[in-house]
Amino acid sequence: MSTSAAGAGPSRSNGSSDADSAKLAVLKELLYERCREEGDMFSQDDLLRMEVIPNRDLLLLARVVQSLSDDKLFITMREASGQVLWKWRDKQEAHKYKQCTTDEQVMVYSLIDDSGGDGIWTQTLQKRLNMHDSVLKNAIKQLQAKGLIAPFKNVEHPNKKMYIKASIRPSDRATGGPWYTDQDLDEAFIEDLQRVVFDFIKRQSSYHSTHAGAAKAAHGHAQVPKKGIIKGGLSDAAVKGKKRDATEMEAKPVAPTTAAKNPLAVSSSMAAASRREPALLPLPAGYMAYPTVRDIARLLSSSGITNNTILSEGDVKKLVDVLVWDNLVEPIKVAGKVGYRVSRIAKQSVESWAGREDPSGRGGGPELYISPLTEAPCGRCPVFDLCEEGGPVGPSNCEYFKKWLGKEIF
Amino acid sequence: MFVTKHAAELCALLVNDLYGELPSRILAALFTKGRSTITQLGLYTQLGPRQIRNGLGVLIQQNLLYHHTDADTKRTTYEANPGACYNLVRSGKILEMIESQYGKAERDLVQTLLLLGYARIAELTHAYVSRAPRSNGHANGNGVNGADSGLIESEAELHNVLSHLIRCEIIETVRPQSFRNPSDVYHEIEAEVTKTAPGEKATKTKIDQQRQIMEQYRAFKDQPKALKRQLDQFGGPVTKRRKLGNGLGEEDRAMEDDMPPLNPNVVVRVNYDKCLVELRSHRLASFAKDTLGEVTGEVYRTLLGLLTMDVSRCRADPFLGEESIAQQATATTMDVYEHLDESINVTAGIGKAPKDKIDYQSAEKIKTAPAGNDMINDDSDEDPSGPFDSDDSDDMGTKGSFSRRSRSVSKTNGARPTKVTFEDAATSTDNRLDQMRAHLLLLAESKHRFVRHCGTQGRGQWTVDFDQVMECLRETELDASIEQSFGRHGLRLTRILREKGKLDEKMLPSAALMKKTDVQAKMLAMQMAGLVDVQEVPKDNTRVANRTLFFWFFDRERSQAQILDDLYKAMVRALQTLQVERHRERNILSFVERKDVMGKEEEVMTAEHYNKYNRHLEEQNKLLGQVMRLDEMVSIFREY
Repeated sequence: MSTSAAGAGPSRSNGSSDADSAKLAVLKELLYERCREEGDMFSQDDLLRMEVIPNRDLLLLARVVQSLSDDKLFITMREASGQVLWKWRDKQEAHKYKQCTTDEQVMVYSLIDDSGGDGIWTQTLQKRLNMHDSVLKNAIKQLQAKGLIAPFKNVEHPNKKMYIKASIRPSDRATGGPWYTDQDLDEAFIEDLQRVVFDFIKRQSSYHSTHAGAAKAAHGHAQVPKKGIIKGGLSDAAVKGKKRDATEMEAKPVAPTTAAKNPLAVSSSMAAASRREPALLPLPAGYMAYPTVRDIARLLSSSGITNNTILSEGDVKKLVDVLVWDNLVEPIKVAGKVGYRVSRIAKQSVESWAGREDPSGRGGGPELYISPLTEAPCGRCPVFDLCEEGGPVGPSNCEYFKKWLGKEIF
Repeated sequence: MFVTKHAAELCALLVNDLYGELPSRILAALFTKGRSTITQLGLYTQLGPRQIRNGLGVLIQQNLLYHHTDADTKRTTYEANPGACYNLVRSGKILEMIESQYGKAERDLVQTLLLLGYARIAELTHAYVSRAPRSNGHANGNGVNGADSGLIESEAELHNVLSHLIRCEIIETVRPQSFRNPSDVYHEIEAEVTKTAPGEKATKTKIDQQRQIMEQYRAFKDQPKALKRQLDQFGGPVTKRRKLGNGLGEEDRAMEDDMPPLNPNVVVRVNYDKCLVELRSHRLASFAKDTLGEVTGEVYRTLLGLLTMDVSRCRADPFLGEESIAQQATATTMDVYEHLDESINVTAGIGKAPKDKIDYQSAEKIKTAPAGNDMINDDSDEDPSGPFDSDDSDDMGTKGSFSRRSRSVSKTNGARPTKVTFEDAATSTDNRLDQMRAHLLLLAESKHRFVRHCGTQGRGQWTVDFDQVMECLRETELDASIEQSFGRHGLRLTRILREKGKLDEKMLPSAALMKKTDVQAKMLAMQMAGLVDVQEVPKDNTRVANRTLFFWFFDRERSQAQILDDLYKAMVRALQTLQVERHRERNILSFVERKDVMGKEEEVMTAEHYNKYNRHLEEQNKLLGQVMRLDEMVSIFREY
């Protein structure tokens, strides 16, 4: 394995005497092997201390290191303090430099090599090397033909032409991590994962009451005298009729769509609410088993949904954060650890969100609070800013209100 | 109150709807031109002085104006009172609230007062006494039927109800001073106090002066409550627990019987500030119901009722600062328990969990001060020597409750729930208390911070940090409207910005897990809507786009102001649509208004017209219902 380095050494230092060059080759080999054993980076003192160079001869060391650098086996680096350090490079990697036939290719290749997994933009190459455009292009073309470098797309700069060493995979930063498939953000993947996570949190953070029908009926009963005061508590039945208006007002936000279509359907929708048997209930305060990010990550990895992508805990945290920002789940800290639970648990359905075919139906999806403003035409009116009595659009000719009020448009 | 164009429009529209065009036109002029005299109003409105006086009379009768006669110049100026004008839209809600909290007779009285604006007690007495003997059939067409026994029938009864409401601060007394703009009064007091006679040296210190100003201003603000204090002295503290005890009253009324009769010359009106406090409790309870479930909402409502008993306004007076809000009240678990409606099934509404999965220490954690902004990063609960340890009985009680609950729930399964709760009421008292307590703990644990567990006396003391809860509620409303106009992604982006502050454009896509182009499109749309904005920070002097950092940010206050204005506009549009509808159906409506048709519409009208009429009523209900719901949002953003 050492033949390439040993063989190449003397050929370069042909100018000096044979014995000298043989000695240099041996020293080089020795120093390189020691470095590989010792660690990563070395200063001049470190190299001397290895006692490879006889008599701690600085001049000799300089020659050896120079020779190693020429062979691309050593990488010269400069620390912020100005001290020069060396790093060893794998022989196979170094051998690749040998494949570069021209100086231009070596220069281009070394820059691409340095950029590592992040890759480098052609413009940056040109700026750094100050080469002529055609020379650079030529060098890149040749390197590519030799299979040393490969073009790739960086997700952060999708429009830039980037190159990376052919032998390594682009870094997570360049590919965007597990969220990207072929340099594109895999939105369907993310959406589905979110649904799975949401369902999991919903299952784990709520009490699934199968006989909630009874509880609901109890609510219905409790609802009538809810204001807390009914004079002479016995006359419940008499007051009930009157109370109905209040409960109707109450029910409106619960069943906005039905209420909007038919205000008389409110009571029937209430009946529907109490007919819906299973329901989710919040868990008592201080509940400790709310799923944490780690639990969720474990679920995802064990379920095998992400068949060829591995999600780290950090990735899952990102996913959960997004759900928090979407107001779908909320963090809760109990006994010093942060778990997650679903927001508005009392209103969520027991169906699961994931794996549903129709995205429009929102079946099983999270139930969000509906703002009164956006429910009426004005809240979602595209020409709200223009709307003015006497203007091109206004209350007297508003199509949206007509529709909302259920009038046929003539 | 800051009046935008749409708010002014809304106020004028409301007045137009209720009191006719003349007052509305004058009010609109006052809104656009500001404080004016009668001659000036004549110029603005092109109306004769006679008409203007008539219109102003109506407006003053309804408390819709501030007016003031300068002592030196003897000139009277008029100014619109936007808050009062807006409150017109809430009349229905207030009446409903009064009826459910206080009773029918109270509602009747408040309704009369709302119709009259303000009235002397003697006038009220006269009206009620003269009405009483009449048969109930045609009381006054407002649905106030004299048939029910709950209504006021005698002078003594009227005085009881009246003094009851005065002591609850629902009704306040009116003095000439009441018609002045509070900020005027404040500035006048300020000028008076800081004024130095010529030659005299300013000797008082600033702090002294400030104190004096505050005192005088507070005296001005307390004027309407003078009668309440007077009554309180006679009656003792009976008004406590008035609305919570089931069936107020009989003993309350009896107590008030031996009170001296009210001075017939006192003028009274409805105090909207206190009504708003009650409405706020109502709204918060339904918020809790929405997030945690019905039963929890009921428990919360009871707690709020206890805590707001002595709160006379939702927000601190801008001139008095924090002082005007009473010392933060607390209620004990026992208090809440006593006032909780007995028919509420507290066993329902919370799930079961194995005992070993409950951390009682964090559930029972006591917070003596309002929490900071971030509950998650608050590490205080690591403290092992928390006050919890010293309170063993609580611990045992709650622990016991969980095991016991499982039994009672399973019972609920079979029998009718009401029976289960009350069969063995005596033995289940403790049980019920613990279960109710579990609801309170749940409320305290919520991220909305409904309740703060602030002490251990009486099996735990509870208080509510209204500022924080209201901020959460406002946030929720804002979130909902963003979610519905810009989708989940829009909401996500704004929430990221709210959490992180200003954020570089490049950070957003990765944080939100969205495509860069999608993010840009969404942000642009939201910028157009005024929700988010961008700040450009050039890295160098060239100011080219790729050498510039773009920071997005979300301006909460501006968004709230914006949404408020949108709400006004939406309300105006709904009311205007109603007017358009009325105009369209004017033939039918004028027919229905005829005396010989009213009450027997179905018989008199043809089927076609009757259906049309019904449809119109439906539409009207829908539109007015919508206005009410929008008002709910306005209150959240502005008053509560």
